[in-house]
Amino acid sequence: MLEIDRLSIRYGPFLALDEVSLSVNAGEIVGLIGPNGAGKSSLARAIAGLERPASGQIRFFGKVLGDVPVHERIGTGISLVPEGRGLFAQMSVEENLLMGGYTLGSRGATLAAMDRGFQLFPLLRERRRQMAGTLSGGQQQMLAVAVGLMTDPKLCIFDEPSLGLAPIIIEQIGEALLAMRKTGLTVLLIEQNSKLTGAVADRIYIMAAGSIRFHDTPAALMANPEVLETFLSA
Amino acid sequence: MKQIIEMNRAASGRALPVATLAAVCLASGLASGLASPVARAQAGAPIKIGFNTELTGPWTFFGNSCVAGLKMASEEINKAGGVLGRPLEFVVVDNQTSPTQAVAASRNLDVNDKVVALSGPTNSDTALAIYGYAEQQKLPYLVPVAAFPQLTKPGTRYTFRIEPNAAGWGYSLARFLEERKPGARVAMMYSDAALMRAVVAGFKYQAPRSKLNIVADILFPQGSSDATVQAAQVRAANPDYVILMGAGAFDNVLNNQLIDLGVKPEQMIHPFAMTTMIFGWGQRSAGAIYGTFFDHGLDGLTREGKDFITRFDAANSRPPSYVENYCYNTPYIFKEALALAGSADREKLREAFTRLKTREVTSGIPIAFDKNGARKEYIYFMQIVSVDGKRTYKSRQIHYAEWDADDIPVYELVK
Amino acid sequence: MTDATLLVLASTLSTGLILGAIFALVAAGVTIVYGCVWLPNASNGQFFLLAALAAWSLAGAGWSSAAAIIGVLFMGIALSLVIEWVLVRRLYDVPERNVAYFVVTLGLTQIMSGIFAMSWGLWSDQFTLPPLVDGITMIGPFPMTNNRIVVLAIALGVLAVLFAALRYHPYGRALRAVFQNREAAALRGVNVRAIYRLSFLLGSSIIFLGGMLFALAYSFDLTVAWTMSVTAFAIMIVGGPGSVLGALVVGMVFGFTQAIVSIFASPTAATFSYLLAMLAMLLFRPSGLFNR
Repeated sequence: MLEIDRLSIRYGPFLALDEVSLSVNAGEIVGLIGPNGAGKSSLARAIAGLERPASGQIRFFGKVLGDVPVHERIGTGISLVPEGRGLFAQMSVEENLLMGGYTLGSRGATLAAMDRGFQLFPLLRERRRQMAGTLSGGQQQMLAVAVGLMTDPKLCIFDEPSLGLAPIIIEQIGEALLAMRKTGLTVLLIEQNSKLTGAVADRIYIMAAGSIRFHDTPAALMANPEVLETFLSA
Repeated sequence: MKQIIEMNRAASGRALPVATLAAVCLASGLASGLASPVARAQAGAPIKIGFNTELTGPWTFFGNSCVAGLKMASEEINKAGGVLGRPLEFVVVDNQTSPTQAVAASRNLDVNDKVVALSGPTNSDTALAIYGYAEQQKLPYLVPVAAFPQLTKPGTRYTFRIEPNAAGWGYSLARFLEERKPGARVAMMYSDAALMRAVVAGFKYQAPRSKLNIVADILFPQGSSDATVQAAQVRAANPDYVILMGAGAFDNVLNNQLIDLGVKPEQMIHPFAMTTMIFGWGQRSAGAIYGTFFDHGLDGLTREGKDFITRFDAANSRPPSYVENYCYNTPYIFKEALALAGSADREKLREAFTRLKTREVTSGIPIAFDKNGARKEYIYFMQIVSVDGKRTYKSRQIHYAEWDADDIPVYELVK
Repeated sequence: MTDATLLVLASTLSTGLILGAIFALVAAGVTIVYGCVWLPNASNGQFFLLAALAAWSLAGAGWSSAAAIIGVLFMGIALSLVIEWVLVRRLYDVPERNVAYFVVTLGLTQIMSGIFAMSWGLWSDQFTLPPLVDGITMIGPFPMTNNRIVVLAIALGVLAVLFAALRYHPYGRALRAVFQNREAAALRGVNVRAIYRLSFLLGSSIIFLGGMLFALAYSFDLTVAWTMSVTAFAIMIVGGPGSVLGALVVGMVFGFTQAIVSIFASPTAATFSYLLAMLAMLLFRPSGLFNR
């Protein structure tokens, strides 16, 4: 479904991504973990069109995304819930969801999508009139996930969804992801550690300093002493 | 091209180079041809007079209107052979309606162009700035249009002023109202500008002596845009007359809002009016009274005056008012004074101005300067008969008065 | 209450409302462009004046005021498109674009004032648009011209439509989304450059309309550009950049302090009082009264 082929990203002289290759198949939950500054977010932003790669290709359903501008990528079926959640702090929960469904066009489709979000996180329905900026961190993350899913994307990328959240909330989000997978969603889940990824992912890529170091199933990675020592100890 | 160089020099060193450049290009187009002597037959080099005026800035309209009048007269004089066998050349320089620029421009005209005299301002602030320079450098200075009394304060030697001083306008207005309606109740609404304050000072000096009753006295800051509340206050005070003087467009706002509230045009008195102001007041102001020093509706226009009005109207699509008239008369006054002086020497020219006894070519009103450079003062009060569209209006003269500048203590009243 | 008191009271209300509504409208135009695109236009006042002068010229050529206003609005939109195409779009991706734009528009201000001075400035020193409608409506003892009632209705109507559109229309919401988080808006499928263009066009058109409404309600001269620039900018900052509600509320505070202080003190005190009121509001909420 998503194929990344020897992708490099530069910020001036700094090479953020060094010929990274990665693939995500339909129906999978794929994890991408690594320490801060490994290049995970750069990769996510490149997939969403926020960064211009220096070289390499991103293909989605075989189509090269190179020249597709950011705002048109959501139409191809890719949705990114960025690091920091990408919410509109001075808009209500409902308005954030409406923005999530900006490309849907019809009022009916938007309301239906909003309803799906409320089913996934019933708390959001209660808080629909509240400003997003005044929600707690966990509530904001739920909203971010719901916003990201408004367009019913084929692939949803979550960048650091568990950052700073209590374990019980992380668990809720994990459950939501598994539930969404059953409806046909493919997920690329990016995290600094394996708290959430280890529990839900089918495969995990481990990144450091701009390149992929390991790639395997969670169970196999857990069994690898080198991985355990370097990346999973935290 | 000399014009452009001069004007650039005068305008340089300021923070607004782009606009200045644009304005200077435009202005020089306007001013060229005015300096170029028409009659090549004249033997001597031109007699240069610095014309330091407001081609840009808030007073743009007055400066440019003035130059239009100046241009007509200087061409006529040069066609007729100039003066002392030499053409008159007015070096027109833009002072951007800025006193600082006006001084810089004066210095340029003095030092680089070696002009025999200065003239040009249509604004009291720039006129005062040039006054300082002219008096200090002993440069004869003929002020065409600026009414602030201190321009001819005691001790003035080199400055001569064509326009009557503004305190005198207020004084004569009080005399006029006393005659028109003894014991009249009068309201005043005016902008905070040197000119308006001087008129009010003169009026307030004379009002108790003329037994007038001031029932409202409202000063507006510069940049005001609304006067509905004050117009209502004035209406509530039930005056016989309302004196109104707004700066720029605010004048029209005052006029309209008073009429909207039911004040009758016959009750409204504008101490001074330009043609464009009367157009702005429009037909519904028919009956209103205004003061002026020249108008196409005057009774005593000379043949030259009528001719000036016709030609000015043809060129500018409006009849001239007192600003254009004074600037039209300026070259003729210089011509008379230079002829009297017998040479283009600064001191001789100054001395000639003190002896000069002449008349305005357009209206025949006498021109003579007192020991301070103030002229024998006068004013006309006119009544609007009709305003037809944007090009014409009809008015009739209802009052004429003459007085000496020191009939009232003008220099005490307005510091 | 005597008729005289009622007269003054009603005139205070009418002044506060009209001044407030027109200034709020212009400030709303400024705030949309600044809040969304982050472009502080120093030449707002000149655009305002340009529209008023253009309408005056059309009216002088025999157009009715209504036709002149509609004509100038179309010309204004065309002009904004040209300016956007030639100048503004080049700045969309410049990180320090607010500084660059401010300097460029300062230059534009000077050029435009020069052009105005040498064109309209030579024709007159005061301009007025003929009234849209004739007649007077008595509000108690206070006669209010129907023309000013219409001007007030248009200004408040446009503000209301603008407010509703920003709140409820998808494009309006997208505009606010871009104000708040440009990248997140792009991720949700908002074409950020198109929204920039929309807000520039919308903001400029509102400023053009404001200029013409001012010309209908009051006479104006070339100095109004400066007054309007400074006041609209102040209203925007105090109201909170990007907030139409802020522009409306602070615009009304501006109008009413002017009107009220000028009866109880003097018109001169009124000009200081609104600045004091704004200063007080800034001390209370340094980032502006309202959010986006």
